[in-house]
Amino acid sequence: MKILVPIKRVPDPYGRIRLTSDGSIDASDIKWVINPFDEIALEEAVRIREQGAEVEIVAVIIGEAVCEEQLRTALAMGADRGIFVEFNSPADPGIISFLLAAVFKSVNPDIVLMGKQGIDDDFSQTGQRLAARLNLPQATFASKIEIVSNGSAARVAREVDAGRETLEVKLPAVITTDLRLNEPRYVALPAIIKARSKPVNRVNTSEYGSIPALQISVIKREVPLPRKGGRKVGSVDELITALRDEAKVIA
Amino acid sequence: MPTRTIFFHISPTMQVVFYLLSLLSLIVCGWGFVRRMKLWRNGLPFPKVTDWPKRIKSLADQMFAHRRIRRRSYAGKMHALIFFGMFVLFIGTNIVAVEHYGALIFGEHWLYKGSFYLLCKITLDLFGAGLLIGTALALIRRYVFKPPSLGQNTMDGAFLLLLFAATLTGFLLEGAGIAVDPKRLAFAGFSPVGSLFSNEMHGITTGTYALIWWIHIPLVLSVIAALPYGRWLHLFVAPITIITQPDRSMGVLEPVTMAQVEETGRVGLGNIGDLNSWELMSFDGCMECGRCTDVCPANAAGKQLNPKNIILDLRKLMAHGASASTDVISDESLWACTNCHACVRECPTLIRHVDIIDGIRRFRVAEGRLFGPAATALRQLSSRENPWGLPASQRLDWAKDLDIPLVQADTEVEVLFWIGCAGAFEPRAQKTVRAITQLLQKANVSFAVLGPKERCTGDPARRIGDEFLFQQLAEANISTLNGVKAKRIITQCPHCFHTMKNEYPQFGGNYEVLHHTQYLNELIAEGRLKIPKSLNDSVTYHDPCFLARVNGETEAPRNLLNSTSLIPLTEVDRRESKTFCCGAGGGRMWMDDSPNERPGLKRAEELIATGAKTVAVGCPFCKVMVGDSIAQVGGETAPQVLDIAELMLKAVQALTPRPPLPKTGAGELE
Repeated sequence: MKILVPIKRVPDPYGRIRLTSDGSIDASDIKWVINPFDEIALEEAVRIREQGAEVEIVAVIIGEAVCEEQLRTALAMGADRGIFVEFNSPADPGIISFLLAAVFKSVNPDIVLMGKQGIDDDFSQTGQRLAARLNLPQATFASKIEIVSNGSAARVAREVDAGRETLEVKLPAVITTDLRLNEPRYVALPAIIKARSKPVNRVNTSEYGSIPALQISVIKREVPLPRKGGRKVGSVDELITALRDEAKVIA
Repeated sequence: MPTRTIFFHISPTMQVVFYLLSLLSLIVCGWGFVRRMKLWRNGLPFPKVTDWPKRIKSLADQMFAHRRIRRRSYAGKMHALIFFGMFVLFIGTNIVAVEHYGALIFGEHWLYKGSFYLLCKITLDLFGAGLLIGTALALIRRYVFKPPSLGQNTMDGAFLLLLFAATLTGFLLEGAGIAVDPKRLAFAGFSPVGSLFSNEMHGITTGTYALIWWIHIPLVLSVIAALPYGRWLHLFVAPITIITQPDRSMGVLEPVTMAQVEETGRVGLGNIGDLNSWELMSFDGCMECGRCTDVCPANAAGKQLNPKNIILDLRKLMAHGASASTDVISDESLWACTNCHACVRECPTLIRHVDIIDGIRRFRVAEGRLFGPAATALRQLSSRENPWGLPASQRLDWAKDLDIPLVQADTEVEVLFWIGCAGAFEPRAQKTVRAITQLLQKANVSFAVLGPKERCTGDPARRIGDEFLFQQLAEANISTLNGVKAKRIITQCPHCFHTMKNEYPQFGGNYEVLHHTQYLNELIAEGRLKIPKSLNDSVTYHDPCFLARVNGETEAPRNLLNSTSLIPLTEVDRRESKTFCCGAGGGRMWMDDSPNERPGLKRAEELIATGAKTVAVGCPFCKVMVGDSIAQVGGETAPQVLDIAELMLKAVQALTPRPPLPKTGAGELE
């Protein structure tokens, strides 16, 4: 079995994003990491392998040269080989799903396992768009994945608004991962160094034909307003009044 | 002239048989020993051993003064009787041998005669009796008291019985010797115990004497032959382990460089070959007394961790060669260790359990085998440089209403106050640092803090096993500290204290680091800080492991507490170097414990049982763990948990009118 895990380079979720005076992101103080949802996807792929199945894990990253750092971390976490698609222009889920579809065709995996969304722009579209482009079944927001029917299908529990839904998808399929799926292992520096000998295949996007146009443009960036402090109310009646008349959350 | 004939009534043929048997016994013993030595060589090279005078002193201290051994009363006395008995009898046998072979040159009875002979006689007789009693005590302990941690197999009892029989037949022989040789009767008084036996043996023949000799000698030779084949191997190994012990003091882990990792492709202790020869040898020094497990807080809390079994499992593993994997130690055991060093402090043969545990952790972390909240803590440590994952800009939030000077490159201060991440972010520790600050101000100490420039010392990373994250943090801190020319640093956290004081020198950070109780004690001694003895509540004190056990500071906190309180300190049984861990060390602060498996609960019960109204602590993590546990088991009348500095401030405020409270009211002491 072959699992393709697309990963994204995002700012460290524990860090604070600052804007420069001209409204762009101040990258000077940002530490970059693998998108935590993708990390969960990769962890799941490693666990499927650790359960004893014969699994090859291929990690793919799309972006500028600096992204190789996260690809190396993915190899340290347990991916067997990496694909680095160098792409230096702004991207959106349309472009990324197009490029991933091209990678899919060259790798021919049984599962594409990826984060349900990037924690930077939170589009939550790439997995779905990829499935559509490839005309594959999809199971999004997975909180549990079981490989069934001798590796020809996956039973996926999904976190949906109404609760939990279990789907069985035929493989190959696209599965996107939710936070509840697992807790990824910790990657220390020696593991990254040891993973240096794992192969990374560099791909030029020119191989993939004409790339679709960017459909999303950034108009403006703003730092969220600081949270206003709450206030204590004296009684239940006062609370009900405040909730009804001020917050207008009850009738 | 008082003396005795060697090989009395033993024919030359029989003497030849004796020498052949002795040779056999020595071969069996030597072979067993060499077999073990070969296994030690599976490890990395034996560390360089220097500074012999210090080492000889340490050996004398452990071996002859029984420094560690006598931390247990019964077992200590038992061991002393057996050890000194065997030691003196060994010397006695050598004197006899010197006399015997010297006789070839100097003629018979040249040495072993007269008052020297009588001195030897009485000494050997008494120490022999000691050996007999000691062995009997060991047998009683093993079969009557049966301490569970001691462990038990048939061979253990068999060896003790053998030793007992060898000693007892020695006295029989002595008695027979006196009974059968009229010349010796005159000075039989110098063999008081032997005479007791001779009284019953009057009139025996020389044949009977020879028969007893032939019972005694094979027993003794069997004892010698059996030495390397069980826990008695410690007789040879422990002295070597002690004299060649690592130069690193307790709690200091060995650094590894990235160059080493790149060269060897290995980090931490993944298999037997990753341990060094000293470490492997030290396992053979283990005599399975079980003291380590008796004092282990994780074990007491019902966890799988059993320090003795870790050593025994690895010892068993040694037989499988250098490539045998340390995976025999379960994850559950490995991560349960609080690094409290109680096992290390108790071990009479100086085994370093924590070095081994942390070494295996280092390997597993590098292999990507760390999950869960500890992994999250390390991620936060890596990105925010503190395990709470809070921004550095909030590091001085605790001091908003206090006037705390930040370090300036051009202003010299007496001390740098290292706040620590707990002091910066953890509400209960914030109260401690506020109290310390106020005491420093009261004593007119010029001090400054690093504020947002401070980062975690790296302690949790090192104990959990991410050595390179630790080194990264240590090097960054050292560069900051050297940048502000820090000399004297005071910390409120024993973990920061230990790491900066004992481990930063490994990376070129050399500072005088003091725990706040040490510095406050110094201020009182110098008369700069006056604390009125004004508190009227009973106080007990919980020694932090890394202050008391690992760094030996037990006096300063007690002096301070006695300076505040009118009632003498109510002590808990397990204190000072025997203190019982709260459960937070070794990165456990960042891992989950099931509610009934918290080491702190046991400790809370002990502390509450003292009846003290206040439990004083000297560590922010103890404050959290002991505080939470006391809240869990203490009920309505639970004692309050306060840092020593808070108590001191209370004593000051009890007599002086309170200054008006700041508007925020933050950090006010209850």
